[in-house]
Amino acid sequence: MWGIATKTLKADPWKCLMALLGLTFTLVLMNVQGGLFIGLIRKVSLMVDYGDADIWVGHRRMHNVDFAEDIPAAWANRIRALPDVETAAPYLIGWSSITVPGGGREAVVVVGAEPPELLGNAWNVVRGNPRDVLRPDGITVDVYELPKLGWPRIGEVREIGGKRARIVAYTRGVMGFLVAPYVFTTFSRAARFCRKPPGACSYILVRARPGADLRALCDQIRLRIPEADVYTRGEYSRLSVDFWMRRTGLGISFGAATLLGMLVGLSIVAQTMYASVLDRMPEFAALKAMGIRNRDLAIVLLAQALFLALIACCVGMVVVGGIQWAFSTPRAPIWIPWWLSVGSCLAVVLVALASAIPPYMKLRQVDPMLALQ
Amino acid sequence: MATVSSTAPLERVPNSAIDAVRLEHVTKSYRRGEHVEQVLRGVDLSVARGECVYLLGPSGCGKTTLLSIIGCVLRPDSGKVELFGTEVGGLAEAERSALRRSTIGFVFQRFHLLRGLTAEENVMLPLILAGVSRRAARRQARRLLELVGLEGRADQDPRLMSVGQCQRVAIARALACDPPLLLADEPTASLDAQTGAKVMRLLRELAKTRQHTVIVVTHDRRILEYADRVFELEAGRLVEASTAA
Repeated sequence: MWGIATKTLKADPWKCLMALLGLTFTLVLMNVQGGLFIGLIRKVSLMVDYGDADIWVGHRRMHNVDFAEDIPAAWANRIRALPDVETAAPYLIGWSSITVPGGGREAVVVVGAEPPELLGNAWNVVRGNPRDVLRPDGITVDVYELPKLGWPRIGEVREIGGKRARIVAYTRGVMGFLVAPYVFTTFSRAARFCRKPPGACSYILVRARPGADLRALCDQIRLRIPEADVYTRGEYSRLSVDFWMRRTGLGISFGAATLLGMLVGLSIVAQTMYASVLDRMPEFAALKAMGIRNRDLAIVLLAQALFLALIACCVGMVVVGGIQWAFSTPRAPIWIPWWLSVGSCLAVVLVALASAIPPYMKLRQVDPMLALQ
Repeated sequence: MATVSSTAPLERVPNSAIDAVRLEHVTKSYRRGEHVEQVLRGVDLSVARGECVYLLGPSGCGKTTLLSIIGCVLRPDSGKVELFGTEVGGLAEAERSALRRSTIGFVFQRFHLLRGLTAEENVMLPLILAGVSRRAARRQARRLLELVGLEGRADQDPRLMSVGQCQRVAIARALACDPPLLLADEPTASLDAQTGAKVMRLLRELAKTRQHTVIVVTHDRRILEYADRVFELEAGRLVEASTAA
């Protein structure tokens, strides 16, 4: 039956091509839209995911890593006293502005990590060394943000919040969800750049001892500091993502576009398969006169749909790979995890199978008399 | 209600004296707007097993309607239709479908071969639908194509064949499941006189050698010599016209 289905399908090469285009379009759209969405949403929790801290301690009702309220840096001492804590250090994420050539200023998000561990410091450093921020006035910026900052070179001096800052290292692809570039430096220097009051910080980053139960440690910290919110890295990452999803409707926007793509694919394929059935009505009528069962007709159509879906998945994934290679940038990353690819392929198979329903309903009604007229 | 086995319909008719087809007082009318057109007005017909019967008449006289009723594709308004001793009027659609699959082979005027399939695959189709293995179906298809004189053309696309060859493929397809009853609807309509005669000779030979009952609907009087009996449909009634062969 598979052979009959595929051969009769290939007998109409243009219709077959149209259906393939529809399904491939659906698959590409789902992957690219989904990949863009995931790439973008991953930036929301970038600092948490790559910050190297097991637990984040912050102000009450903290919801988003980039918008932190001040908390006492001294809380770190109370946390360090817990037996399962290896390191607890104050961390600062604040807003300031950097001077750019020509007299302008550019808003920046200043990130300050406490020496000597520098927990939460820059990663993916491509020029210089992450610990170069310990050098006098040292800051790290991202190479993709250089145009915004007026192309500063290593060793070049700027001012942030009226204080002297020297570019000592470049990261690559450390770009947040917000438009302002990240600037990494030490905690105390960040506090000066952001004009923070003495003893204030944004978070206490905690690294637990190996094997420690993180949830239990969170509970212990909450007991010690009841006025703080305490989350594991995963929890705070999800919380940050939820914040942007709920406040911006980002998920709805991308989801709607993806759904639209699926509907477009569904309608193209259903219409093409339907047209193909209409074209072959006398042939199908003859088959019905010969006593073909409706079940067999359904099998033929489902086999055709499955065949189209499998081809579309193979072609589509190659196209997706090409698009990802050509267009994915740190500013607009197209991040396609394996489950998105597998999920989109399954969705395309479902779309194809669903497309077989209208032509099947038509075939059920075909009068075998048509073959004899 | 009679039941129909999809695999062995003839086991129900051990007595070869039973007619292959028996029609009693069959009527059929079509409503065209306000007007009701009576196409068949009490048709009676008995066709013995292995007989080759032609139904003659001008276009639109109801020949194809009668063939469709015999082929369980259409239900009569009234009257009795028996195939190999089984009354088919009371059968459900699925049972009529099963009966067609196992008992009746159709040869259509326009062949209706499936585009995209080779001659051999078209002949294999009814066998595969009947659950025959692919290998056995291929063997049977090759044998039948050889029987209709198309050896060496099994892998050819019917679209590249002459109409006569296509009709031969259609005949091979109709014979695929070895049905005891063959119904042919204007089988020579698309063929020239010479090819038409060849096809009808072939049908008759097959009927005689394999004991198929053949009913042919035609308005082509040049092929009447291949019939055992000829009936003419006149004003909705069947009249035996002549005995040809």
